[in-house]
Amino acid sequence: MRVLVVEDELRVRSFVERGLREAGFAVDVAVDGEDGLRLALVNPYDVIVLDLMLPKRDGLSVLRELRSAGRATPVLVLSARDEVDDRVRGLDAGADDYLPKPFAFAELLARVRALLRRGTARPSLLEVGDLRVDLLSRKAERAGSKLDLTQKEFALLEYLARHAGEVVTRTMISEHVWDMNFDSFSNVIDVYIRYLRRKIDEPFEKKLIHTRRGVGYMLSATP
Amino acid sequence: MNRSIRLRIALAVFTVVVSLVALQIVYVLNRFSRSFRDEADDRLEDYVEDLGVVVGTEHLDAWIAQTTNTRGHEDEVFIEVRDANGALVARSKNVPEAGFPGTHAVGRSGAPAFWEFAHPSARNGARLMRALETTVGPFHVRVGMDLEEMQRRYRSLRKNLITSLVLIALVGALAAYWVAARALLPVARIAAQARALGGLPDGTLPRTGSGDEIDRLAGVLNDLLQRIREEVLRVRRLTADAAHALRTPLTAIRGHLELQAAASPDGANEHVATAIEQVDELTRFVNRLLLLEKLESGLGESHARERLDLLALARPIVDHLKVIAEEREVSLECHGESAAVDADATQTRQAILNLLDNALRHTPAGGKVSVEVGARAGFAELAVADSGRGLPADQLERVFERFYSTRAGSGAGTGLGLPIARAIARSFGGDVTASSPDGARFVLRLPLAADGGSVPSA
Repeated sequence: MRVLVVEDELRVRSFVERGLREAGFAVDVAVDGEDGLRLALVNPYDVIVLDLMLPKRDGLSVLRELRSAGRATPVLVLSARDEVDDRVRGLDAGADDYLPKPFAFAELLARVRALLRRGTARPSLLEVGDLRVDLLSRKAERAGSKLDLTQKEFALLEYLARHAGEVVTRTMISEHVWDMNFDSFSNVIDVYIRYLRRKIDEPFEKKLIHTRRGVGYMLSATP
Repeated sequence: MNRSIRLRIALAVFTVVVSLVALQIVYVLNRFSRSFRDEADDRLEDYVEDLGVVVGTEHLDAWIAQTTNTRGHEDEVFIEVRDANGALVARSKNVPEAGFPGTHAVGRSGAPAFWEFAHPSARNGARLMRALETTVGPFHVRVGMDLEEMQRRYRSLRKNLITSLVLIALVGALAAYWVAARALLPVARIAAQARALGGLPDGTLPRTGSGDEIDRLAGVLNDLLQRIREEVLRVRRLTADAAHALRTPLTAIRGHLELQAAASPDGANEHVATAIEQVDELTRFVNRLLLLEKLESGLGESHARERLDLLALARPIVDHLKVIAEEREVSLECHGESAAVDADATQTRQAILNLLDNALRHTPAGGKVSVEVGARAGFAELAVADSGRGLPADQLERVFERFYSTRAGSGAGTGLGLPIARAIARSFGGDVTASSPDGARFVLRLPLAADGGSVPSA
């Protein structure tokens, strides 16, 4: 998988580049709009991470040029400016997703992966180790024994299972599972994770839910 | 009103007019009585002169009778003539046997003398007599007349003067009140406009254009408002710029820390994890500050309003927070009736969340937080009451100031939750207010939907 990162801020570019490499992506970088547009038109990227405030040519202009040239490459827009305005303008100009600064790298990674998965068929049965999550019947079992989960617990487990092997942040969980940003109440999520652990992990030797302190949670058969 | 400038000016004018006119009246009355007495004295001297012609002749009695008989329509006159030894020579009929009271000694020295005494026939001595005693040749002469006419005119003059004094003072005071009221009309308009000014403050005070003191004051105040506005905007821009400038470095710090954490096995690096948590704390703070700036500057996104039911909006939030409340052994409940408002769902939710956050943080274990929704007087109300320590009266407004946080409780907030809740409510024409009936009680008010209509089921 090949990703283009267009970002003039060295401090941001450096960790995005390094992080994506460590996650197994091939990464190209561009430090201004002109450079970014040239690379995007020449190479077949799987995803483009595009900052809006760029020297020479701003991000929105790059995006429009790219789309008018017929390129459908998924684009994740980054912005430090007013969120709502930029979100609307970015999506209008053909962006596929939007991430406001400051963001967690885990979130950027999750969004990049989500863009890559787009279009691929979603399985109705998710398996993580001996845990099976059936999305159709909305039932879960571990090592053959049924798990008695509340609706909210199941929704949380589903989200974790969809991102199995990836770290998901509390912000991502609250926005996708609760459909609201708790901000000061991110410990609501901690409480639900604890409920879930009690049912999924406590009776078993092997733990599946892992805490990445300061980052978030991960559902994975391997720690 | 009781100490209004209008009333004070009117009272001052009344007092000054009464004093000045009263002084004038005293002076006029004084002059009047003096000139009247001079006139009387002239007449008495005329009588004495005439007497000088007839005294000692046989015409004396007839002259006295004629002179003193002109009364009825005129002042009463009496005449008494004695010889050098004090024996009575002649006197008018109206002089009593014992003579009029007076000082005979004055006349004996030779020099003419005037004196006054009360007419014996008058009660209370109200009727004054004025008399002259002098010598005409060898005779002692006493001529007197009453001052009834003078007294009557004096009293009438006094009555008229006092009546006009009262009228002048009243008219003056009323005129002063009216003029003051007219002159102060712009002040009332300025006050009304100043009250309507927002916190920024935006707008100017009305000028009359007359160039008078009040108009000039309004001009000076407008300049002051302008300077305050510029300063407030400058500070806001500064805060917003600073918060914006923090975003990129925060992103960078967090990103590098995350890579660091991922490199260590199973997030074993405690220091890195703690640093990330602190960065998140800072990030939340910056985001809140930016949100508040946006709301308060009114530069927020054009409000996407939708029809919402405050109760339906609050219920799931309360449900989600129940787990937190249980953790803290605080009971949390929500009840009330539907109340339709037109507002932005995300922002309204944020406001409710902030109020609940505040209540939960200030309620000790075993306490209670209740949410009550209803409609009252054109507003949808959501009240969040807690059983915490409550707030002293002087803090009921101050808790809405940024970073004002003296309520001790578990976990400090950013000091921005309540200001944000209020700013959100105000941006939709509502407000958040605090009271402390027992614990603290915060009420979020939003205008009821115009048609008071139904809420589409979501």
